[in-house]
Amino acid sequence: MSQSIPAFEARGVSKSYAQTAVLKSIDLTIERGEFVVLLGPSGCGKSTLMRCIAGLDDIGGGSFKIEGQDVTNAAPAARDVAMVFQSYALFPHMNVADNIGFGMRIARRPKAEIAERVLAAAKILKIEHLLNRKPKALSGGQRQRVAIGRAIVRNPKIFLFDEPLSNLDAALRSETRVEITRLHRRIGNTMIYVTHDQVEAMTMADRIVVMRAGVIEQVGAPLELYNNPRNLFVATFLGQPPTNIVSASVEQSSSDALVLRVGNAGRLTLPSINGALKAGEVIRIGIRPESFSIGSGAGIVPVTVDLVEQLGNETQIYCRLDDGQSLTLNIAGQINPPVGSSLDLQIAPEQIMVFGADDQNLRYSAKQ
Amino acid sequence: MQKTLLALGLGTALSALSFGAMAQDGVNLVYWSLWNEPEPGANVMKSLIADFEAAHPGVTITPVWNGRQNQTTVRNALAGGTQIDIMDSDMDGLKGGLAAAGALLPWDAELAAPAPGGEAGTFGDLFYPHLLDMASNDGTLYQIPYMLYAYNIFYSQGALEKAGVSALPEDWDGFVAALEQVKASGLNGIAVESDIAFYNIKWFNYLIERVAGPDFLMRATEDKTGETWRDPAVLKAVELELDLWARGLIPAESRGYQWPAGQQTIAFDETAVELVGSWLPVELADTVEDDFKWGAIRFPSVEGGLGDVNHVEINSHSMAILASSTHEAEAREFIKFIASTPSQQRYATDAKIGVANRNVEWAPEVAAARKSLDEATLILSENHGIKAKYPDYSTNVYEALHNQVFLGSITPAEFVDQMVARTKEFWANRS
Amino acid sequence: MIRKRLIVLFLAPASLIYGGLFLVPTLSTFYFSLFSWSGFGEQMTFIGLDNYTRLFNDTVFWLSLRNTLAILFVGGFFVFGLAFLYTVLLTSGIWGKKFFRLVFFLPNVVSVVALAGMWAYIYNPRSGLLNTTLSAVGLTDVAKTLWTSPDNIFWAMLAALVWVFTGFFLILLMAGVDKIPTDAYEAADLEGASLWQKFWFITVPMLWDVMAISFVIWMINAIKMFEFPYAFGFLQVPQQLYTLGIYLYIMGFGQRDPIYQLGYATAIGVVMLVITFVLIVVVRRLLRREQLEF
Repeated sequence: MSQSIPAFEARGVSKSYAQTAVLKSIDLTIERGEFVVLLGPSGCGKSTLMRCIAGLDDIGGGSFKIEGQDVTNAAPAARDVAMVFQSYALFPHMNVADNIGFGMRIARRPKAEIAERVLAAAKILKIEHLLNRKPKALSGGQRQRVAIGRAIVRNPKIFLFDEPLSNLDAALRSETRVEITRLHRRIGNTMIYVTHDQVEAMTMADRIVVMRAGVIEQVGAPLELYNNPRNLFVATFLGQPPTNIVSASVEQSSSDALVLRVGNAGRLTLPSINGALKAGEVIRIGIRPESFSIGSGAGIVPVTVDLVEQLGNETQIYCRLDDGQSLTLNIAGQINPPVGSSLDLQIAPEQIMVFGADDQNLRYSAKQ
Repeated sequence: MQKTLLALGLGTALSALSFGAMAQDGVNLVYWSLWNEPEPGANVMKSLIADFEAAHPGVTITPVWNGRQNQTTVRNALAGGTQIDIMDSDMDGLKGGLAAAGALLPWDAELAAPAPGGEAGTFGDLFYPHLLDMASNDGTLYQIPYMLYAYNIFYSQGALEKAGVSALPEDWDGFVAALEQVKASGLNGIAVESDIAFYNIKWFNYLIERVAGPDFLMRATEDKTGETWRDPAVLKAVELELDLWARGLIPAESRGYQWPAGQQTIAFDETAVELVGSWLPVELADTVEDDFKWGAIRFPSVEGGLGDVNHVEINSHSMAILASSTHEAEAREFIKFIASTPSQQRYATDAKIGVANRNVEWAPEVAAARKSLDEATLILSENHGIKAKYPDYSTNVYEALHNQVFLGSITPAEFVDQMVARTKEFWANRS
Repeated sequence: MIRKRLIVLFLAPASLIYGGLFLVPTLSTFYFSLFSWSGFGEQMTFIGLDNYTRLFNDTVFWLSLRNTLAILFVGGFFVFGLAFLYTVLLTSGIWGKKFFRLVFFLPNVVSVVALAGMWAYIYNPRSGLLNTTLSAVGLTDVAKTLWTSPDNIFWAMLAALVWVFTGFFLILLMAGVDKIPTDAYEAADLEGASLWQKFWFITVPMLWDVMAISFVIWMINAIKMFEFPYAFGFLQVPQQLYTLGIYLYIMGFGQRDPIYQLGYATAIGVVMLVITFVLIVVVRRLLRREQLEF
């Protein structure tokens, strides 16, 4: 097979439960070896899409191809995918080795081969000392590895991860995140990973697929999405703390510049968007918390401090515009403005996102 | 204490309802009955109770309708301390049960008293001759028979007419020949219920009586070596009854009939005869056409045998007073009332059941049965007394093994061998 | 401390009633089995173990025991075979699972007497549903079978019995299967497991507790089996249908015959108790497994 055939293709995939459409004409292509994260709020259809890819649910229309082969109607096992379930779905009556080797046992592989491949997978995950334990004698993280081991041992064309970290505590979650990324580098298989956690998506993905209400909103590399979101939803869903969305009124829109009034006293002059907006229009703009700096001069927005959180390396400041809209700031280093005091904020104009009436990012560039 | 505990522990199979004495001033008699409430027999009893209560102000009667296993129900209730005054059951069952256990009041002193209701003669004169002797335990009478059933060969007159048989002969060869004629006409000869061993045993009871005389069965049962069962009469009786199957006079599929599948074929005029008690016309009253005509003959005689066509086996229901009754006088009064000719006539007329009172005319459906009793020179109790005296042998050995040979599960020779062995086993286990 | 005393206080009436109505009579059964006693009146004769030696030599007892064991093992094989089969089929995601479950369970809410009457109609040699159906589909030779003849009646009864009990155990097993997480089956689907492999490798082990208790319930039911074969016998239970429970009843309470040998009947009861006890201990030993968490 030539390298140009993608690992996975979805064309016009749709699915409904009763009258409700949960997937609406999904098109998606994943290259071999890619780590793709399906990201979105709960109910967006990302888990359904994954279950359909696995063959656990049927689709209403469209087609799937895995490495060029049409698998739209294939049985789960015939698709050569492995899935790590959110609950891990370990068999409680089998020990770790039997759990990992289950598929081979089903396929009646020779015992020696099963033992060899189970051990190899266990070594990758550093759980070879746990092979004789039952799942109930394992910690959450260990169970997670066993579930991954069960996928690894099959060396599938595609790994599917369904929110695999959601049952782990915070510390273990970031540790496992790193390990899964390392695993991907090491074994190189195509992986599709479902999560609602944008940090996981940002840190692990080669590409992120942002979904909402059964529709793909945007596909791209993490920073591409972060810096160049297609619309307000993508802009707010990525980034923590989320992008500040502030309403502003257009004072001037010309080929030279876009001048906005923010609050009563703030005025921002931004690069032109070629007259797409008219003076007097009220629009929404997006400003990432880290796009602010404290200073004085032109393009100043005055705010009142509500709350200050000291994180050591940075300081999070919650404040209000003079018309009551709230803002969250992320300032590098340690500063400590008193609560109730006024601050003058400076914002780099090119970092301000401008959203049209349909929530589209007017500065979005469709470059690849 | 032990009794109570045991009754609590084992008495779950049957529920026992207890009705204490309720009348404050008057007397309340508690009567546990062998009738099921919807039966014609129970309806007559209800109206008789009403009449008795009307004639005896201050006396009320509370009936409890338990059905045919009444004696077992009563025993469990008595063990639990329930107050019961009057009960009724099968005559032989009572004889071997409550009467043998000394739980009933004797009646002998009453027999010479004048008949109730100003009728001529004594109370004892009301009954069929020998019936009271049969009902007695070692010469003491603990029960008053009131329903009487004769085991005869009942037939559908319509079926016989269709087959061109004018009368059923009362000799075996003639009987068989007449049934051959029935069969030739396309009807079935004899109805049999495969699962009711105590119906099927009547064929052997009568045949062994006709061949070897009325005392053979008891003799064979009481022979502790069992060897009496090797008497050629046994084989002969079995072969005669099996001949009915061999000739097809009993349809082969009867082996699969569960009561009442067999008797219903008579009601539908598909089968001519059944050997059964004289309750059959009552049981089938709702099933037969209005113009259905019943007839009965006595069990045929066997040529050269020691028995007699005038020997008739019967079944009877009796009333009895519990020794623990606190209202003996009223209870006796009630039972006498039930046994009196007018009351008994009500049973014969309204419920079409035969009665123990000899002065009563039976319903046309069972008139032939009555005639066979009038002419009887000997009446025999169930299984010729075995049922009352050796009930477990009667049920577990005699009836069960006979049913196997009768339905062809074992050969006549195996039957004889097993009767010998099981009779021996019975006596060995009894010692 | 007060709490504990209070709990004991609340438990006391139930314990007394339970003990008085069940435990004491059960224990006294052992005592009564050493007597020759009609069960009525005070006349009891101590005869030691004679009732038991008599049982040993009693053909009808062995016949009843054989029938009871046939119900236990042959009946049990079919009850659980069918219950498992239907469980697999009904939990495979087909339409109408609740409807079928209701249909299979229905015999359990109908009185045994009515059920026996229905089966008599089914088995009737001439007009019965079974034989008329068989001849309607052309199986005229099979349609001549006399299902309730003495040679067949036990198996005919057992088939009806299996029909009654399968629904009950189907409910138990399906309740157990419903507790098994669906992702276990999905994980197996992804590995390519067949219906049979999923049943054997997932359902059976994860249903182990429910199975063990179901087996025990069946054993207790089978050994004390009484109502259904008794009702199947209508006026008089044919000896082919005797179970230990029926023989106990016949010997102790006589049906219509005045056989009142309660001492002997209690000895049968003791044997039933011992068989039940031994079998439960054996089965629980054989089926003992670690507790599963899922």
